[in-house]
Amino acid sequence: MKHSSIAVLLLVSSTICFAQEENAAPPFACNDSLTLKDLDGKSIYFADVQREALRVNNFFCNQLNNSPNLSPDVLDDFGDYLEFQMSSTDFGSVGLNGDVASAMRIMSGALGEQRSTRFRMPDFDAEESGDDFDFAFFFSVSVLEENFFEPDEGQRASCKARFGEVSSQNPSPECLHVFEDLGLAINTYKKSYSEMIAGREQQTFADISADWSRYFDTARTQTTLDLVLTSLLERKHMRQGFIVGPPKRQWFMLRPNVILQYHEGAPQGDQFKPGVSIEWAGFNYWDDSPLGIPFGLSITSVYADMPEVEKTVGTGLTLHINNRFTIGWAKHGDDDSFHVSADLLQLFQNKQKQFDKYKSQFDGIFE
Amino acid sequence: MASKPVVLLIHGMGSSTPPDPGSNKLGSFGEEFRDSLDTVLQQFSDHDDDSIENYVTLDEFHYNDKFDLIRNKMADRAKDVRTRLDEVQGLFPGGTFLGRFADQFNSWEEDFGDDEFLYTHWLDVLFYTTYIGGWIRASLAERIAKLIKEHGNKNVHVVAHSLGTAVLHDTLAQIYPPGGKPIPGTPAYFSVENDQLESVWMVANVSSLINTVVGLADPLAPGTTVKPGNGGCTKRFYNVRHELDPFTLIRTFKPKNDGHWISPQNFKLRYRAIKNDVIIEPNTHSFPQYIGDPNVSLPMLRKLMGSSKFKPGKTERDKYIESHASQGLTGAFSRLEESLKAIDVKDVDTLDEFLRAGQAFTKIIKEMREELEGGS
Repeated sequence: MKHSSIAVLLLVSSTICFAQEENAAPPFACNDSLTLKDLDGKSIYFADVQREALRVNNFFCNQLNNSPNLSPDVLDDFGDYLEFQMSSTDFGSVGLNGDVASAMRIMSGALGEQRSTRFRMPDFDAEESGDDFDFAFFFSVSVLEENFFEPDEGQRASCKARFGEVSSQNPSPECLHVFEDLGLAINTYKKSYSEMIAGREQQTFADISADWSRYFDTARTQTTLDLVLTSLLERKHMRQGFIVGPPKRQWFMLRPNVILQYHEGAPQGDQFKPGVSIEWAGFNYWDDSPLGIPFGLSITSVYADMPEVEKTVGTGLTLHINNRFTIGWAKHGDDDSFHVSADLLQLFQNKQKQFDKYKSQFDGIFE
Repeated sequence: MASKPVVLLIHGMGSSTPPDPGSNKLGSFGEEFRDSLDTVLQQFSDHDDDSIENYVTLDEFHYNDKFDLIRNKMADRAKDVRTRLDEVQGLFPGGTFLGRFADQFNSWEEDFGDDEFLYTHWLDVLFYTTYIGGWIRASLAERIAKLIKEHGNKNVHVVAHSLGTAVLHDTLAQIYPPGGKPIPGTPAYFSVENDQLESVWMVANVSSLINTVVGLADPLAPGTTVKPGNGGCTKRFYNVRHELDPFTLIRTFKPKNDGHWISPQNFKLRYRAIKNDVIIEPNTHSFPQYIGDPNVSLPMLRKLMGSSKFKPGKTERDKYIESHASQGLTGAFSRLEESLKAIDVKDVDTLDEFLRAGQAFTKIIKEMREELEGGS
């Protein structure tokens, strides 16, 4: 056992290094200096609403940036403003005015409430309601079930006539486009907040994605069987209701490998030989572990063609360190053997040369 | 922030070439999409020299490079072990039980690097159902977040094909959690109230089938967020299938308008079930064939370009629909229908059935193509 202890120590000390990356969180501030120039499009029919929405966007973000305990009153105020503005806008027919005001009440009621780590900030939408290319549409607030308003043909015609007078840019607008324009104006209120949230989520998912890349770069390469086994045993982790990083543990089964074996029962000069191993079952903490370093353990059988040795096949334990180095011990009747291996994929780029080099490094230890 | 809407394209199983980094050119999947839609668009008098790219930005999410990486790693490892095994085996003529055992377990992965259908298509499906799927979903989540940030949620459309529908479904189910529950230790999630995507197109949807193995979320469960409208991650949901696409015959995604999945009102206004039946090419699973069908391309152009920019008259639309139908292969429908009956695709929950159908279908397509070439 003395020899293997030396090997373990040497391998551990020479190969393990920990680069603790400090992931300083990037600042995700809400842009409180948005101007009309920064917007995707300018509202044709509801310029006042868009200006107010822009003011709310900036004021809300300014408050948010300066106060961790923001009161979302400013959004409530915006809801009130919308309700008032729409109530006093002539949509060309009484029915439509009522429906728009009702939509704004829903919007107003939904705004600003804090849900989990988010403020409620729904969109106002106008969408075509059929596939008949006839501009039938509905408008809604993306929050509640009972928020559909489907103008009938008369209402649409009336609205079209009414807004045709407003803009010389578009003298005969489809009513759908008037409502799309209303959505463009209103939804300006959440532009900076949405950008900030999405930027933050992008960073979170990028970090998780980077963990996966690191896993496939550094963890032990698995066979299909290992892959299936790990998926099965780590399914609780994988099936959580959110995006997850790689599992902490890898599992192995019936995994063939090639080893360098030292057999104490073999004659002098023949004690160190290449051989074959099968990991019957094992695990590997690829990144962190209860020991604080990446390590794994397997039950392994080994074989090497050793002269004058009765039991060439032995079974024992194999320790995997830092995802790359493998050191094991096996019992062959009354004799012990020790073996080492490196992950062949990662280490043996130039197979024979590297193999010989590796072997020669250990010759000194075992002689 | 970009003013144009963006369309995120997610490919299905099999190889597709991603765009060259730093180049403005599309990858192979993006080209298929653009060319298919442009061919339709140019049928209309207002757009005879037009392209969908004048209205939307096309963005591609390619994940098969990740599968290739893993396949090749496995193949390389197996080949390395093979080399070593051969050397060791030479030391003991006839081999030993342990040697033969190692040899057997090593042998099939050596071919993973081959460019064969089995390895480039079916292995993708199998790999996705393992934990590797988690890597794909994390990358897709990052991409969707990026697009929402840069374009705004109301400007993001997603079109997925085949295995890509499962990738998209599973990712959306995880980033739009019911009840807005963030990832522990982070504030990360998207809200079905604030961040709804503009539209989701599931072409040859296999998400229900794949979920039987992955087990992340049932696409038709009442609590799912991968649905349109209230409580859902998108404003519009389009489900597209060809009547004779065998991959969609197993565990077919077919929600009923009974209030179970979404409300009847949402079902009417926000969900579209599109079914194709014209066969231009024997491969009814092919993405360009799906997109080129007027059942898909007309509402898609309308949705992506906007009703103010794509508004062909009824006469022109009818003419196009008629001309498309006339290109259908004579007798192909009944020929394919018979062949599919013969392979007896069952609506069962097993991935086995999916792979079996796929293998048989590949053979049928080959035969039909040969017949067509022989007849021409």
